[in-house]
Amino acid sequence: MAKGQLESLGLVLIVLLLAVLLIFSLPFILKNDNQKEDDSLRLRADALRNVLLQTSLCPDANVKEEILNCEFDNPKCLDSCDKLGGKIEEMIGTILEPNIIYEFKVEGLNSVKSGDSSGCLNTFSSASQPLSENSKVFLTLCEK
Amino acid sequence: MKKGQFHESLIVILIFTIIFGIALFGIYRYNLSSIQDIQIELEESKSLALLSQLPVSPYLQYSELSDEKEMIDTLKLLNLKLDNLGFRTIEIKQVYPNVGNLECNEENYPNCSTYIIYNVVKNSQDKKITSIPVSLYFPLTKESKIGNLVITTYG
Repeated sequence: MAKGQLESLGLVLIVLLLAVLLIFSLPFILKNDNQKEDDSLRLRADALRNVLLQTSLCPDANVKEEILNCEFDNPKCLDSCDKLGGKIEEMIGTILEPNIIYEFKVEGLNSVKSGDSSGCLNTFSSASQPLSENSKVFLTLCEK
Repeated sequence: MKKGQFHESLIVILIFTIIFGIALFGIYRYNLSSIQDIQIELEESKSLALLSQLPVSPYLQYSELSDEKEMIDTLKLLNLKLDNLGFRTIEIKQVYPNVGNLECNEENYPNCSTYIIYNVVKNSQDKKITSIPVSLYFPLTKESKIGNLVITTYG
């Protein structure tokens, strides 16, 4: 092999080595770490569910008690159980930022739903909380 | 070695030394910025830990006959001052029902909204705000309202 060809071969080997190193390091360089934001949203979903249920609607009852009253269509604080979803929406509106989408759902005899997270790609749900034999509460959050 | 070749070799060595020096400096700057990033990340993690620990801390939590409730006792907030929590501002704001924007003290309680329980400010443009909803309990009226525990971390 001529001297010049040997040197060219050496240069090609170095370039190949650099290209392989770059390919292996790309996943680490491009990694997008949103773990803290995800943890924060998960924490907020659990906290918000608990806070909402404990909030007083009137001196006689809080939200949780009113949901249970509405299972028997016997609200203590509101004129009608149809207004419960609107009241919950009003409460959630004061605490969440506009860029956070939510869905609050009570599954049971007289179900309640506020918000809609069907368009979310990455949702964070609180653990479901049973209120009685027949009803469970779910809260889901996601970022726009 | 001919004189010309000697000079060429010196120039090549000089150029490589300069390139090596620049590379070393670049690595040093990169390491320094990594350490600062780790410090910022650590402070953010501490704030996240505080968000989950503070609402259940005995300094803030409401309890009735030793039965601990998942609520913050607003009477406890009036005279509470925490310490040793780094450069942060920790405040609790009532958001529902809305009562405006007034810092709470013994004179205006409960017709106020903001309880500042820790405030050590650092002159820094880097600020990160994290928050979590909390229940605020008013023992005098036996009502529970919605609040926000807000932690501002200074970088």
